Amino acid sequence: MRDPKIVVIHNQNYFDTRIFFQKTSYAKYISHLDSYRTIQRAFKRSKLPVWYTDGFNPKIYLNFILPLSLGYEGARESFDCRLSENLSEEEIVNRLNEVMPKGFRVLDAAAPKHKITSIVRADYTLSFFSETETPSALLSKMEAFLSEDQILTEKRSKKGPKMVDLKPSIQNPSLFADESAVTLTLSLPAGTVSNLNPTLLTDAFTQSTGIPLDFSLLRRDRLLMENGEEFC
Amino acid sequence: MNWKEQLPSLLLKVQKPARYTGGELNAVIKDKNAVKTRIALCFPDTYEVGMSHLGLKILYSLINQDESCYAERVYAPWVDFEEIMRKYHIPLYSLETKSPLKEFDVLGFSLQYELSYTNILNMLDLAGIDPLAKNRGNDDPIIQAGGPCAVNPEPLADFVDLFQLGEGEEIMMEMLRLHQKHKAMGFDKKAFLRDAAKIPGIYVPSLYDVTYKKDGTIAAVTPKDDAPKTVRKRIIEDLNAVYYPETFVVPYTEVIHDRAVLEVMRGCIRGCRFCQAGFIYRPMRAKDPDLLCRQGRDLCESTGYDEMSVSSLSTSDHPKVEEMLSKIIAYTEKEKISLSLPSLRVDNFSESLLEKINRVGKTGLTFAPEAGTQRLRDVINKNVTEDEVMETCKIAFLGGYTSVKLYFMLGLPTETLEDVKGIVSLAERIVDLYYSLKDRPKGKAPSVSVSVSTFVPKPFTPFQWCAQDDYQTIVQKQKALVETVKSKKVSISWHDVSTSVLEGVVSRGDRRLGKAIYNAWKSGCRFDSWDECFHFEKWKQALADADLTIEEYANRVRKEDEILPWDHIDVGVRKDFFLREWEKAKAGKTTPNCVEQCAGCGANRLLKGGKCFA
Ligand code: SF4
Repeated sequence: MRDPKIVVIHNQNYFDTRIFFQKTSYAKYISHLDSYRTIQRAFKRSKLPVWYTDGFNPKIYLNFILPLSLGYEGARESFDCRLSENLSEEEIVNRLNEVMPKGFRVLDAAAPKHKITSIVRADYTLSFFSETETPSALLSKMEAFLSEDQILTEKRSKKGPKMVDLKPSIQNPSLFADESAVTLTLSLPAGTVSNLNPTLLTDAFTQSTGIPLDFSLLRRDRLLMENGEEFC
Repeated sequence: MNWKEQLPSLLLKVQKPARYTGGELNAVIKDKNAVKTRIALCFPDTYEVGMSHLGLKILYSLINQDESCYAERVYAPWVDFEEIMRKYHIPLYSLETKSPLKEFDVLGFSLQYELSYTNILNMLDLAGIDPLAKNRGNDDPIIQAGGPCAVNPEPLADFVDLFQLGEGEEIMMEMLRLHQKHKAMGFDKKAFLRDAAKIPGIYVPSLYDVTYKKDGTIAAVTPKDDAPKTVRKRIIEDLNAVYYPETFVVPYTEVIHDRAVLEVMRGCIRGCRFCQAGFIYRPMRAKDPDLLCRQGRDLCESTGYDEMSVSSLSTSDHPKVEEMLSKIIAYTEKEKISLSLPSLRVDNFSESLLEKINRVGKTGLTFAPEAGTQRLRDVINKNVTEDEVMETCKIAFLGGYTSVKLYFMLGLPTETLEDVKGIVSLAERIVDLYYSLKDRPKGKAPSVSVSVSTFVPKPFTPFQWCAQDDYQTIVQKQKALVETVKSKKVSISWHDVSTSVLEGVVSRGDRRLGKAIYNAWKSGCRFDSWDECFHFEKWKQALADADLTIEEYANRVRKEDEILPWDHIDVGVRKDFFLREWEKAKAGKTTPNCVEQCAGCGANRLLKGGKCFA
């Protein structure tokens, strides 16, 4: 690995490693906890020299960066782990991909550059349809909805539900329709401070129009930092 | 859009979509058109329950080893997905190739508990297959069933074409080969079933006529078409030579037992009189420690599991238990795999092994005395004395444990109020013991949790003739139990009595009960073992509509000369042995275990040499 970041644990060197992966198809139906277990087992099968947490039941240390909710695909997800050898990026990627179950694919590995707190936004792609509307009708209704002055919705928080206006948070929305579905891409606040799920927006649409939506795609495309660059 | 195209977005509407996707690591993918026989292994409960079941994992891998066969998996869809399936006309499908069940040659159901039976009917219906065997023809899959409940197949006789009795490894392959032969000739269901009945261990209910007396008891069971008079269960004689999977399918989502499992032995030497498993899996056979270690390593390496457990009815009775445990622990410690061990009888273990076991076995301290007084424990032949419980608790408390879990049953034959209260006094004496120890864990309070279930008399046990306590009696006993507790350190939990009542009806049911099961399913019953889905009133109505009563199945003492619905099934242990044991139980006399002294139960006849222990 280039520019390795070394942590010393019990007098041994470990290489901080950030692994980027794709989560698609079968893997989108599982929760964060299930993803965690799945990748832990993949590490075990790969026999990579990975660091285990201390304690009575040692577990492979994996720290996921903004875990995805069930139902979402991820085009470029990531987690941190620690390896006791400085292996090449290629070797790490290959050894993991050999043992990954369907729906998980490792893209690359590198020493972490930025802190998780530097993430501020995420880009999403959503494709949806409705049993009652044609895609083109749905498209114009969604367009109208997105151009309203305010998009109020209830957001659950630790202090109970509260009303929020989604409108100021939405960036770069773009819509198109094909014969089967409407596709919406947009950017929303993400990170450790404020995080908005795009389905908040589509739920608000259903609430205001009475049109229930079926999703053929919910995908987080990338995590972005303040300067607009991708998190890495 | 067809249902397969709709599926991805429909799955987003259900609570746990990963139950229905398949695609898991190590799932077997074959070309379904390139095999001769396709079997769907169906578990009549949720994915999480079914994926935890060792028997199906073994059969799945075993069948798929054969190039001419393809086994796929199917579980009962939870009610949320069932609603969607019915609304969008999605047929019940296999996880591997997403094939509708109608495409299969054989559907093999696993019968683990009676309260899963309505799920079988519901799964067939969701597949567009008629649940009633007599309405199915040559183009429908053969419905096969096996597992412990198959020892009394009669309640399912209306629905299932053939049952496999006993251990499945050999008989399953023999049946599939016979199916291939018949398929090549042009499949005729009746001819196939007639031939299948010639395979030892296969029971074809349609080849037996059952007639009843006026009082509802059986007058005669008459085989037809050369079917054997009795069908004897199959066993694998040498467990060291039998196939064991090198890998398990690793679920994406958490299931109940999500780990590598080692099957250390089959059968049990103990002979607890209430325990059906203790008799129907006899004789006891054990696996060699080195083989177990190899199998454990293969499983962990191919699955990535970091957890391992051992499966058996009584691990401490493994003839080489010390060697086995030290070898397994050596491996799991090295590989950072956490081993969960059941509570073991530790009387004669070496210090060093004890220390190792204590390092791994932190799952908690559990005992199953089953009954509150020594008298009743003698009746049920449960070989646990209070001294043993106290001694083990003492060691555990001194080793830092503070909580103990105790399992008991209410409603055991001959039980009195004194026995019920004995449960509480045993628990309270454990609390007293804790406080009497000078070196107990500092500043911590003990907790003893008592879990009581309701005794259900089962076929092929000495209690098969018994009357089960009725609902009211059990509820009263539960009340008496709770009122007796004085110590705040003792907590009591119990199960819903009505499900035990139903279990009592179905487990000793006969063929007439099929109608009630059908009625219950028709009225919406399924997932009966899940509290949120259990409707006792519907079941009562279903029984009434079939002109049957709870009392005649559950609360009646059966006469010793009565023909029992399962008398034409032979599990190895003889009926006269059960009768002897029933008499001894009533007299409060115990029977030594198989190692101490053979009690002559008859199971040795299943072995070629006729000897259980060399
Ligand atoms: S024949 Fe004897 S040793 Fe064998 S299972 Fe029966 S009682 Fe036990």
